[in-house]
Amino acid sequence: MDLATGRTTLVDEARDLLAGMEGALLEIETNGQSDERINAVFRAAHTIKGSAGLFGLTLIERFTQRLENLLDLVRAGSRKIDGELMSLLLRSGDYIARLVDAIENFREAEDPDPVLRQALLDELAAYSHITAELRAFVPVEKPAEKLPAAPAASEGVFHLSIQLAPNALDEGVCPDDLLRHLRERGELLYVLTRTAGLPARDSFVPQRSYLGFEVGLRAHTTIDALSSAFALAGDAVALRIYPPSANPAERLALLAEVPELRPRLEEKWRRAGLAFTPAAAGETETEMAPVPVEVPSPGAPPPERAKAKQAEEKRPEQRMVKVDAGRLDQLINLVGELVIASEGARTSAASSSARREDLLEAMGRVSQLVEHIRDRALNMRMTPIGDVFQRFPRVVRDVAKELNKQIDLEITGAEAELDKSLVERLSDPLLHIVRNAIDHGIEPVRERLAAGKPASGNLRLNAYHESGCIVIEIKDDGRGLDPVRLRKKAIERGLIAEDAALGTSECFQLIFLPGFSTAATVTNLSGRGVGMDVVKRSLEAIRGEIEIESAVGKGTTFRLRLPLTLAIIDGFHVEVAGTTFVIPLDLVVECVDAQSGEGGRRIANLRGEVLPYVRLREVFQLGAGQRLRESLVVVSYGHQRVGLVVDRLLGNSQAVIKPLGQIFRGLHGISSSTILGDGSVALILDIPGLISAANQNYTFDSLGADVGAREEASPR
Amino acid sequence: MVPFTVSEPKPGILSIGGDLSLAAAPAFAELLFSSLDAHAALHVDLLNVTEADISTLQIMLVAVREAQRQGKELRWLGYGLCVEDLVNLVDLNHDLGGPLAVVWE
Repeated sequence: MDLATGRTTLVDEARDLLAGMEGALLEIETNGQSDERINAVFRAAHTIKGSAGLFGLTLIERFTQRLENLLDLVRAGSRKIDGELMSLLLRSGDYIARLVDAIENFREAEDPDPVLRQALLDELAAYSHITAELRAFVPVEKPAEKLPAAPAASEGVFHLSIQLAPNALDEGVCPDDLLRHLRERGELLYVLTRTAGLPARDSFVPQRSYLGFEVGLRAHTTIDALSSAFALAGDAVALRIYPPSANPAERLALLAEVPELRPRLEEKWRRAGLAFTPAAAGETETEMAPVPVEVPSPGAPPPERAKAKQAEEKRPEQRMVKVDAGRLDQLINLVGELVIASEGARTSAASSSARREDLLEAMGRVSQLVEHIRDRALNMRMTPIGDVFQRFPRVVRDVAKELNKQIDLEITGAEAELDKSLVERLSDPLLHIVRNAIDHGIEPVRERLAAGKPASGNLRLNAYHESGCIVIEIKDDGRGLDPVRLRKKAIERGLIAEDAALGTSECFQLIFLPGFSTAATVTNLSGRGVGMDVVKRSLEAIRGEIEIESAVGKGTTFRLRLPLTLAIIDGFHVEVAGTTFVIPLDLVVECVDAQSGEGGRRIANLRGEVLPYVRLREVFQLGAGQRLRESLVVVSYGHQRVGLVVDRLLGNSQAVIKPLGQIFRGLHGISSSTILGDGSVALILDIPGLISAANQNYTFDSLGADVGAREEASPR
Repeated sequence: MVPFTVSEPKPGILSIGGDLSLAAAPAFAELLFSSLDAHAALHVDLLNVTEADISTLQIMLVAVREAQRQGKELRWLGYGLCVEDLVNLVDLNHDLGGPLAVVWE
């Protein structure tokens, strides 16, 4: 097999192995080392190395070889996995994942991060003590002129002044790689190149370095962390770092060193919200100007995006899915039975003594099998949500470490299934909600203990099915949301009127308004700034909803609800004003004949229970009609039940969902359409949309007259 | 053996492809300067360059300045992806004055 045919398989397998490796490492971290877990890690690395070797992918092969050497020592008992080694192993896994990404993007010959690779190799070598000849990794004490700065991480704009020694390029320093590396630590606001040192042609030596860089980085980090990125460059790079909290005077002194860059540098500082003149230095630097900050070059697309776009265009359409073998077998069995049944029906029909009843029975059998097959086929696209959840232990661990908090993560309901297409689109929004919960929800240890809570915050991911949807909950036992403060913040930001009357849950929903949170934090996870409004929009794009429950001091629950997408549904047909509407059958509870009471009453009494109802004629403005005999269809959605008053009940059948065109996107209450047996079009109701629209438009009167309680047979 | 290829589709137009990173630096510099000496105007197409680093940019900058000193025109006709990436990263679009889009007759 060659790479051309095996690429996708190789990438998929490698990713599975890496996920397994990470899982085993995290197990070791929480539950201790064991032979079984260490073997799992070793086997993963070993298999990846083997596959890489088969295809001649030397970048991966060589790196994984080194990793395997070290793991061998661990396996033999001569190395124990302590915190630092754990971190190294996890980072090595991350780097291998990037090499795998490169293979997917047809860039297997390129190293995505040579600086990181070298750093990791050196660290691995140090642990393995492979040979005395290999340069032992000694963290170089960087000649970074550290200005008096807070040792704790600060958030804001760091200015770095980077000067290359004449022999830097010769020494193997890659300034562009260093800059790209910085780009991963935060948002690179500007890079200005000092070119004054470039000589004229006659004195120019092409392999010497004459350039320097003035760089602005918005990040949440420390001077040490930034210097360490340059550690391997040693003396070839002179680095000065100006952290956000430092006195501007020293940074401003730079301007005198770079007369040719002065106006541009001042402009960049102004835009970044930094003091750019000695006079302005009087103001506090932490006041960030609310100006959208430029990324390197004006007019040119950010190179990262351009490159990613190229990679995307080059990558072949990923149209392969993994399917459970058992399900495939079941499907094949059913198809076999269908063949038999269909033969039987044909024989029946062809026979001269064919009776109508026999034919109907044979066709009934065929129909039933067709239905089963349809279910099974669609079912093959379903995948457990555990696939999305599996990223989270690592993410939570990393974020908790970064923010210095303790988090216990519980995951339940990982078997709940949803369509494959939803899985990819859920991942980012879930990640951001979790990050939000850890960032703002869960308190630091001290605060928790003071509040009488256990030191470790509890974060629970749960998933389950409910009336045709999959529900995903993210629950934390942190601070909770305070509706009063949320309302106040929204007023301050000019998002709502001062006198706006909002209920508790409406206050919670305020966090989804664009502009609600301050400058959205750039996360390392997605590399882009994100706010909760983006999360909401991503969910709405997959027809999902998000509910918030919270109590101050107790915690918050985010509840996401997504309709399971199936192209065919069982529908319950009803008629309203001569039009056929279809209600998803699994949402129908029961049907009742209704003797209509006087107008204006919107609550029915169904066997003593209160039931709000809507008249579809009114909702869809189909005219008053004669309301002699109507029917009431009781539908459920989550915890609610609502009655739908229709003219006639028509019965069940399967409906193939035909999506409505783009222009109907804003329609409330209708989700899609279907073609009936006679060729006419029926509209499929969007029950949640209908219910919320109804809630908004109708105010429910107090209990009115009873609705006649002659029950019709239930649809199922 | 230099790691890059050169062709001259028309006089005064150079088309360079391949690896222009550090190892190629002396040859690349020599090529640019001698071509500049030989023509009143020089157009250089870098669209097919597959590798570039800071040394490449340095040489391009010196060449631009040299052209100015000689009162000649030097324009870059296309940037390969790695070149574009690099130029954007260090914000030297303005200093290098390229690339031009050109329609061949």
